[in-house]
Parts: sequence; structure tokens; C-alpha cells
Amino acid sequence: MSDDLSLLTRAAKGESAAVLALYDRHASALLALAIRVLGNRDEAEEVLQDSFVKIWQEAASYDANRAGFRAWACTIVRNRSLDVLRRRGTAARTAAVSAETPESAPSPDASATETESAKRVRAAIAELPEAQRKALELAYYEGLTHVEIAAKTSAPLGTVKTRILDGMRKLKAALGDLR
Amino acid sequence: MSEHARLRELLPLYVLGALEGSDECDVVCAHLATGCPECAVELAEHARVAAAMPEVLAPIAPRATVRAALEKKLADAPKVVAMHTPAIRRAETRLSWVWVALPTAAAAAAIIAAVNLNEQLRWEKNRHWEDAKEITDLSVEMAALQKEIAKNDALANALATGDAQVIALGPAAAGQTGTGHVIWNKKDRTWTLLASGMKPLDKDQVYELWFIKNGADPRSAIRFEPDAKGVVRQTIAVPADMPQIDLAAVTLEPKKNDDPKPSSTLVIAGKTTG
Repeated sequence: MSDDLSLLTRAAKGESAAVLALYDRHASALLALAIRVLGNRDEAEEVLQDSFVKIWQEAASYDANRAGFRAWACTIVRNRSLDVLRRRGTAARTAAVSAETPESAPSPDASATETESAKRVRAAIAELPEAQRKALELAYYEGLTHVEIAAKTSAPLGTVKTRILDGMRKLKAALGDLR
Repeated sequence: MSEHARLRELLPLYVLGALEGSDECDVVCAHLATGCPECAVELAEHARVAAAMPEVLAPIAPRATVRAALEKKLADAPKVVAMHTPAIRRAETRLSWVWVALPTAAAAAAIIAAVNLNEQLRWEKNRHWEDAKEITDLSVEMAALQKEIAKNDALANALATGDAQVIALGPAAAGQTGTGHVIWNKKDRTWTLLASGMKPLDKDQVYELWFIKNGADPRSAIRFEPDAKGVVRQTIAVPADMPQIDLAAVTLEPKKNDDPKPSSTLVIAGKTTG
């Protein structure tokens, strides 16, 4: 969204009000991601704040040619969330499930207001075989390595790699033009 | 399958962090550090796709206190650049000058700087796409550093094998500061000016390097400005009609000046010896 870019440009010049405007536009989606990773609302909200401070501090290095603001912000939030998850330790990490974990299936109301890109992502993910989708989600949301995913799913390492590679290839084919 | 094709195949795993802790992660990271443009583009594409995955999550509104806390954090937080940038700049500065007096120590410094950079890249490797851009930037800086090291090696070799002649430069008048060397690499037919301690310039001033052959008019070699630390490194091709020089001098000149002769403000100078 070009509005994001202009806000980010203002943020890069030091305008904290522009960061807050970006927060107002994207915080709900980014908090859903942090909660999905952490399974804990308090920690997720802390991550959300830290991520926006980082966005402010690194606004000048944002490259609009690489990705849209939301994708960039998601990556920052995911990395911050995984850092917190890793500090908790492996046991807690693999057990991180909470009643607050957001659903990936939309409610009837939500699907009506869902963006076009969200619909495309949902459709592309729904097209994936269950094993591929699961492997991608374990890597993306739980930050597990292919070795850890193999152990967790009791699948051979080569199979896990193939699932991730095939899943990512399919998503890229379906969503490669998303910004 | 070629090695390159095999590495490209691993990019989706790399971007998700799924290779973390494996040898393959090191190999992919090292390959990306070479600045391979094909893989950089593909990495960014995979990263964009991965970052789209949370689009399917139902939004959750933060509590109102979160925004207020963020506002306070923004007010308190210093707005700083990425933390590793200064470290790299320091490494470059060290390489650009220290080796002049002591080529061996410089080679060691170059290796240390390269190792530091490599460590930095290793540290970055698992930060996934957010830091993929930074890795690419580091790769570019590392490539520039490697070129610098190669230049330094060439000069060090020329000095070691007697293919180079050195003109030591020192303050040419009272009140002037700066020291340096002109290294005349006869094999590569280049002159390299290395100087430090040069005073900062006014906006309308510039330094100019002159080469002088006995009995001939001084010839302008290059105009330059030192960096913020007063350090200069400039390499220029030796003109075909000037195979020998007897004196090198740096003068202070007005920026807007087409006079082919040097001004009277001599800053540093030195004679060819040996």
C-alpha cells in the first residue's frame, strides 16, 4: 500500500507519529502472528511493541522493491517472536499452545472482509497436501529446523526436506506476484 | 545437478530457518555471501512468499495499553542505525591504512577483518529474510573489502619483489600536518597515494597531488578530499609519457580553479629515493 510507504518514509525521518499510524493499520494482524508463534498474549504484545520500535529504527533501510511493508513487518515480528520462543527452551517451545492462538480458518464475518491477498494465501495453503502444510507451519510458526520437524513428525529427514521444498515451490508458484 | 543448482534448491529451507545448525546452512550462507545475484533474487522471492503465510490468521486487536506503551518506548528509544554497520566501517578503515607502514601486520589485520566479517555473516545467517537484505549488504561490503585486500596484496608483493618505489611524504611547511607515501608500482604502472593526518578542508578547498620531474612543469595527478579521519587512499595510472618522477607534492587548492600550476600552499611533499 502506497500509504504504508509514505508513512514509512516519514518514520525514517524520525516521525514517531508515522510509526503509530502504521501500528494502527497493522497491529491486529501482526499481533495474531506473534500470538500464533508464542501462544501467549502478554509476550506477544511485548514483541509487538519491540517490533515497531525496530521498524522505526530501521525504516530507512526498508527496501520497497523487495516486499511490501506488511511482509517486512511480519518477518520482524516472526523473528522477534522466535527469539522469545528460543529463550524459553525447547520443551516449552514445542508445547506452546494457548487458547488464544488465532484460528487460521476465518469466521463467516471475517471471510467477508478478508483482503484479496489473504484469500489467495488461504487458497494456496489449502491446496497443499496436509503433510506439506504441517511441515511449513512447524518451520514458520514454531521455528523448528528440518531435523526437529523430522523428530516431531516421525518422518525421515529427506522426506521432511522434500515436503518443505515442494510446499514452498507450490506457494511460490501461486503467490509469487504478491507484494 | 550442479553445486549452484543444489544450493538454490536449499533456499526455501534456508529462508524458513529450517537449515539452522546444519552444515548446509553454512554452505548456503557462504554462497550468499559471495553476492550471487541469482540466489539473492530467489531468496527474496521465497522470503516474500513465507512472509505471506500469516495473512490467513484472524486479526487480534491489541489492548489499548499496548499502543500507549509503544508511544512511550518510541519517545525513549534512540533512533539508531543497524548495530553492525560501524563495526564493518572500522574494519575497512583499519585495512585502508595500517598496512602501509607494516605490510605484514596489515595482512594480519586484513585476515582479522575478513574473519570478523565472516563471523558477522555467520551470526546473521539465521535471521532469515528480515536480515537477508543485511546479509546482501554485508556481502557487497565484503566483496569491496576483498578487492581492497587484493589491491593491498598487489602493492605488498610489488614492495617485496622490488617492483615498487616508495616516496615518503611529510609536512612541507610549518603548521602543516599529514604524512604519507606515494607507492609507484612499476609492474602495474600505478601510483598509489596513502596519507593520514590530513587537515579537514573548507567547503571551497581541495587537495591536489602533483608529480614533478626535474626540469619539467609539475603535473597534476589527482584532486581529492580526505575522509573524516584525515585518511586518503587514491590510485592512479601512470601516464605513458611520465615514466619517471623525482618529487611528489600535495597542495591546497581552491575548488574552482583551472590553473594548471600548483598554488603556493604546499602541504606535504617528498623526493624519490634510491
